[in-house]
Amino acid sequence: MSGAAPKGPRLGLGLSEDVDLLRFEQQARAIEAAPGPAPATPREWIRQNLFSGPVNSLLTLASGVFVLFLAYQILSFVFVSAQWEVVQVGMRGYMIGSFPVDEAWRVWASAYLVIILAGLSYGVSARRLRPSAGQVAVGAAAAAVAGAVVFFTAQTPLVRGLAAGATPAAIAGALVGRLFGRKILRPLIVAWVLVFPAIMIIVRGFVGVPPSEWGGFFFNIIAATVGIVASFPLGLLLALGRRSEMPVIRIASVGFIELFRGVPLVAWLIFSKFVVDLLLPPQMVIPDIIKAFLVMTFFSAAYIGEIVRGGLQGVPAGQYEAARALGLSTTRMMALIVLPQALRSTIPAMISHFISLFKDTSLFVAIEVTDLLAAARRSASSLLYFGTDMETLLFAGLIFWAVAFSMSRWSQRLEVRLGVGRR
Amino acid sequence: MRVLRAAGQVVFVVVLVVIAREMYLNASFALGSAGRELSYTYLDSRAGFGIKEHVLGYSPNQPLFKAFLAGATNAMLVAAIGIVMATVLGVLIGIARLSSNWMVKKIALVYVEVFRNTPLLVQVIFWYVAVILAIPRIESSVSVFGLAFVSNRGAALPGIRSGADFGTWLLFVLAALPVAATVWRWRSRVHERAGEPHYRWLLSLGVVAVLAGAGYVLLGDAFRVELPELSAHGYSGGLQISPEFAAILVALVVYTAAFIGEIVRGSIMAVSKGQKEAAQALGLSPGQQLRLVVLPQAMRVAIPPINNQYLNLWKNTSLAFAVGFPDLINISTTMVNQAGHALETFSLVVGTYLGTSLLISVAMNALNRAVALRGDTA
Amino acid sequence: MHSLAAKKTLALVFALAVVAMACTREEEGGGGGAQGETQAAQADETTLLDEIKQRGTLRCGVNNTVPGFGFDPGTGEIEGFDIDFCRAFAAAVLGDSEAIELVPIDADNRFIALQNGDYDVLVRNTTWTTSRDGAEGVAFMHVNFYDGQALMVRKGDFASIDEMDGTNICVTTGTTTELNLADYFGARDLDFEPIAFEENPQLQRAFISGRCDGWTSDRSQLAGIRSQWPEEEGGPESLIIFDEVISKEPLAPGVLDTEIELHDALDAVVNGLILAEELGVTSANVEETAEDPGEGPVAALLGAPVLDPETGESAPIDSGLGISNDFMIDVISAVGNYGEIFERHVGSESDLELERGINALWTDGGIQYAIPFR
Repeated sequence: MSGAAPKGPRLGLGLSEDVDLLRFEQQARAIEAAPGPAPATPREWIRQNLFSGPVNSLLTLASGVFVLFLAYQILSFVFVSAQWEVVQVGMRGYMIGSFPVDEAWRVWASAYLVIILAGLSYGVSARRLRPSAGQVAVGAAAAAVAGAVVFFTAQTPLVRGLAAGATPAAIAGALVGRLFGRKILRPLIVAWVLVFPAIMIIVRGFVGVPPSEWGGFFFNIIAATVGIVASFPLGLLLALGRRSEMPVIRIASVGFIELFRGVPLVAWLIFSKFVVDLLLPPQMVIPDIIKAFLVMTFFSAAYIGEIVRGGLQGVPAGQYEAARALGLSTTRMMALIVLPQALRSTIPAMISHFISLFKDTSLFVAIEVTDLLAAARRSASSLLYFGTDMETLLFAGLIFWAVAFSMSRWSQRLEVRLGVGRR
Repeated sequence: MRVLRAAGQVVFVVVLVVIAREMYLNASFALGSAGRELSYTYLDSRAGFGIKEHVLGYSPNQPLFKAFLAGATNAMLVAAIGIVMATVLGVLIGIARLSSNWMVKKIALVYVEVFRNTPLLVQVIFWYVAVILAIPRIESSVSVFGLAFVSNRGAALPGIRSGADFGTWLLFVLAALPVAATVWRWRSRVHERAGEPHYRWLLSLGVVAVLAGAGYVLLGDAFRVELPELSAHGYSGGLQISPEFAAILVALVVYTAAFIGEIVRGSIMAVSKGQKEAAQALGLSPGQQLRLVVLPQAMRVAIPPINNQYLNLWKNTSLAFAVGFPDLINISTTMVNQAGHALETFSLVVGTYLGTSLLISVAMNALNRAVALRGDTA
Repeated sequence: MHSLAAKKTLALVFALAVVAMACTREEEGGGGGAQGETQAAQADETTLLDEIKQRGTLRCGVNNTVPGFGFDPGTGEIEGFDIDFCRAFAAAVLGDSEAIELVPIDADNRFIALQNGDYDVLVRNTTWTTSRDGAEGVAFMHVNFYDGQALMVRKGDFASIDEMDGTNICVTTGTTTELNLADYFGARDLDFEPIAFEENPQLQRAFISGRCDGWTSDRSQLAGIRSQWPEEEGGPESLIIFDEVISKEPLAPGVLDTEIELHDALDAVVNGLILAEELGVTSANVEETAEDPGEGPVAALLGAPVLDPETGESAPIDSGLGISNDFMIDVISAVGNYGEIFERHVGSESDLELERGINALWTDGGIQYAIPFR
């Protein structure tokens, strides 16, 4: 079994175990996806899976009781005793925080941009535009819930219309994407690359809204995207530096990675103000929130460095040798042969990291940013809506969960597409 | 080529030095213009603020470094207990994920998908608010046979108060350990040679128990059991667990167990099918298969990712700020707000987190080497 | 493969561009859509006071979470004690008490925002301390509210602070509140356990559910919170705030200490409001008083000619503040005098029901004492 067991962890803290966890999950999913024995009749299935023995039957009964009890508690809370009014009133705060209301069009424009692009991408990439029954069910349920939320929380008909228009916009995008197919693949990729700077221009340009006024769920999304976009190039450099033969660069890269990974993000955020202040020239005054974004970027870059390093390790030595044999310089070898393969294999880990970063944006409350969670807590503490902690927590948690869960599901489908995990 | 390499390094070093010098100058200038300098003597000054729970004892008159220590030890206590509980729960969840019972499997799946994809901060606040809301107030504190109490000010359980001879008693226990180790080795050898059941756990622990008990009886005042008392505002005596402590602990355990569960699941599935079939062919029951054949091999592979989860748990204790549990970060922030010296305090924070992470990794590394198959690259 | 590398370069370039854009915008603009105030401030000729007059609006940094002082009950309209002072300032400088722009700002950012020029004057229940004067570069005006740290408990639990030995008390971290409480209790040989939170929502939940026996914060904040206490939890009557003052918290409006003209002008407004109460000028009688102010202190207050005892001539006093001499007429007609503002927002006419206490005039046993207009 010596080939299968991985090397033990290095003494330091720069461990690539995140990649190992993903590898396990990929293998596990591959095993589970393998076709099993022929499906039994319902009666046989119940006997096999639920009541196959005294212990099993007991477990089934106990779990059944537990699930029913939990379901009863949750459903009776959600539909009977909860005061959902607090969510209705606070919705704008949850979505955009204290973003100036008359500038809210910027948020809508950015949201629609992303939704249409997403629709286009789905259209272009889907093998058949007819989704499966399961997907339709899930989509319909999500649309129904979203519709209900929109209906009850929108303050004005305009908002109601804009929010309701999101789904048709996505579907329209998908249809257009299907129509043009792979012809628009290149422009689409360019569009995705440009979408983030575009959003920055929409929000910040034309006497726009500075980062200190961003809030709510909008803030979470933007912060996560800034984090990923800005940390990716730096992470790449760190990974290359970590593998460098020049000891100085290697030590500097390792030091950077260990330092940023070893300290919790909360600590970095809280001390970002002090640390960054003292290390910049006195004439340069940047807002606190930008300092926080800066340290979050470094934090994320350290993780990305490790992920890319794992990917680079996974590229067989033969590739390096072949590239050298072809006479390619180091830069060309990296750029044309090694990195593309390495990065491709790291995509699931990257997405997993993005999900983590997205969840971690809730920590910005430690430096008094009003993100979705903070807005929800604040509305629960307003004395008008006493005791609505559960409603607001559930709502905020649900939104985070929905995004994270969808992304992880998408990542799993992507793995199958890319054939990652099959070596 | 080599010249280029060397030149490149030199340039890089020069750039780094220039940047470092710039930063140092900026820092000195900023500190100097505010009339402060980089020094650690502020740690000896009086703290002035209270900390509501501490492992080693603390009062507002103590110096600041004692406050920092209190925060650090609080966080370490949460992490230590959390790691143990999360591992236990995680292994259970992982096994449940692979159960042949459909209900159990699905419940575990829902558990993992819910707690993995929700931000930890949401979970921490959830447990705290749920705990505080659900449990009765101190006036209607729940009493368990008069021995323990529970209210939303925390739980008070019978605790152990060290007596005058506690130190000596500890020596007794320490002395028992080598004896127990000898018994262990003796029984293992007997087992290997003669095939007798070794009962080594029973015998070696028994040795420790007997010696500890003897010590307690002989010494007279090793320790005593203290029962908590209920008063109008709270509890006195006994072992007290604050709701803040409970909230952060439960949240960390539940969250980390979801990840550990996935690791365990993946690592069990990574054990080749042949092993399970061979174990079955040997006539082992499913429980024995799991315990004797599959799990040991699975855990071997799972150690590096689980180590990572332990490190995460330790770092995630920093979320205690949301519930007012005085951990490392919480206390450090208070220190900076009251006494300034942000950079120095931050250096302490960094050192503590890195140092403790290193300890955890070293321990797991040792474990990894201990269970590695001979012939593996270690 | 080429296109992949090219795309990566593109991504890199754009990432850097974004970061650069983010930084540069802050350096030049410094905050919410400011259209050149910083440039003007750098020019030595125009002062902030001139700018405000040119602009036609006064921007005030305010709180929107403290009932009575600066509070938005969810309607988007902020009202309170400090807001009325903002109106008074606008009436004085611009002649129009509604020419204001209220900028809600939180405690951590208020001084940076002031330095960045996000607003002109800070009226946000801010304590005047030496370090804020010095290091933060704020010039404070006459204290408009003498506040103090106090302790709030549920009625019937304790008769006084001395009975609170060994209790749990909710505090917010990062404020002087913690230190002050430790000192106060320590001096009286009382023990307590601080239940410290970083944010109010959790703290409030803890107090309501009985986790703590007491809640300590500024009296003004406690009064505001108490005034809004829901009926299901007993309403305001179920809470008492002890009279003991745990620490001094003098609240005053502030401006950048480089803006001397603005400081002097607005300081005169605050003094004028107190002086108006001393002299009995109210919003009800200011118009008729202005028509016949006499030639003494009332005339000086309202900008009318004053008799100079030495020369025997009457002439209006030109204090050289940069605003019109009769600014107090506009101010008092808009918001009333100090006493009226107090009663309206935090006193007997409000939900807070605070006593004047040390905020009463010096002639009534308090310490509010106006500088004369001469």
